[in-house]
Amino acid sequence: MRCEEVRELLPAYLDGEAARQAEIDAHLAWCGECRRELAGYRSMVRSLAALRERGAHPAPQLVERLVALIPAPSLLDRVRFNVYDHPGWYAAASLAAAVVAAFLLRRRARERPALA
Amino acid sequence: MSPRHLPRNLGDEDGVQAVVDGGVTKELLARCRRNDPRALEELVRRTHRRVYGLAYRLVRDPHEAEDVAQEAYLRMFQGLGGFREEARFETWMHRIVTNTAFNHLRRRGRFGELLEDGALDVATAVRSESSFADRDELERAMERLPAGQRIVLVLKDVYGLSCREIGHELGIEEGAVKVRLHRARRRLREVLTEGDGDEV
Repeated sequence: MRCEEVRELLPAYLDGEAARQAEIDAHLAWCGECRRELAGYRSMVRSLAALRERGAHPAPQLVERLVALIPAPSLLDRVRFNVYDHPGWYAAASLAAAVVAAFLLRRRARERPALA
Repeated sequence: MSPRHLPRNLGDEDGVQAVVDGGVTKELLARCRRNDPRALEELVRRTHRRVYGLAYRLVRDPHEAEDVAQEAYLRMFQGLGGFREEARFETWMHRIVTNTAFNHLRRRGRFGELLEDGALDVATAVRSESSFADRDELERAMERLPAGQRIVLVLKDVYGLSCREIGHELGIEEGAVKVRLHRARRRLREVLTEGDGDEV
């Protein structure tokens, strides 16, 4: 392959999607100029990816406007958050409720023969 | 809005929770899925610059980018409950912003410009420095690309969407996206090296 052909295909070669990939590999093995061109492309693509972290600069008020869009939680959601936040309290409360229920059931069972 | 009755210290968990991406942890996402407003606020604070940045790069107007960001977050709040693929959160977020921005451009009759894969106006090409350490130079060089190429380059090489996803959002074939992407890379490389012959 000629250098011009290889360089035309380098943008696709970066993703492993160039036609004649094996021929390009063979060319790059001996052609330093094309290897340097490939390195230039790779550097460029790395720099592009780095732009992602370089957010534009929104107005300072934007974040507060976005936060204001958050939907208010339902009553059920609030109960769930509390359960997730304080699992120990809820476990203790559940145990206490079970003990009280057991006590009431037992008392009722004792009273029943007397009524009969 | 300052929600009460809600979990605490989401930020303190960074050290121990796996970061999914962009500073967002699995724990934070799990809380967001439960409609926890504190978690959603944390998510907004951690991601809003990224979201605004993408919106701005797509619509190229600061006020319109804010509108797009607001609409995108509303959609995210609605969709987070059903979102399960933590590893794909960033891509999911980028797709929502992209889709929202494209709808915004359609409403304003500007979407068509993204479908044009026109030739570069060589006369406006900028000369680059020999290094991409100057990100402004790279951003300025991208501005010189035709809109249809620039948008594909931004979505693929900057924000990591796949060619298939980009094709879906633009309404064009995946193959056409790849053709544009490769042209855009070639053009950008030409713009950046034009005039000085420097290698990067």
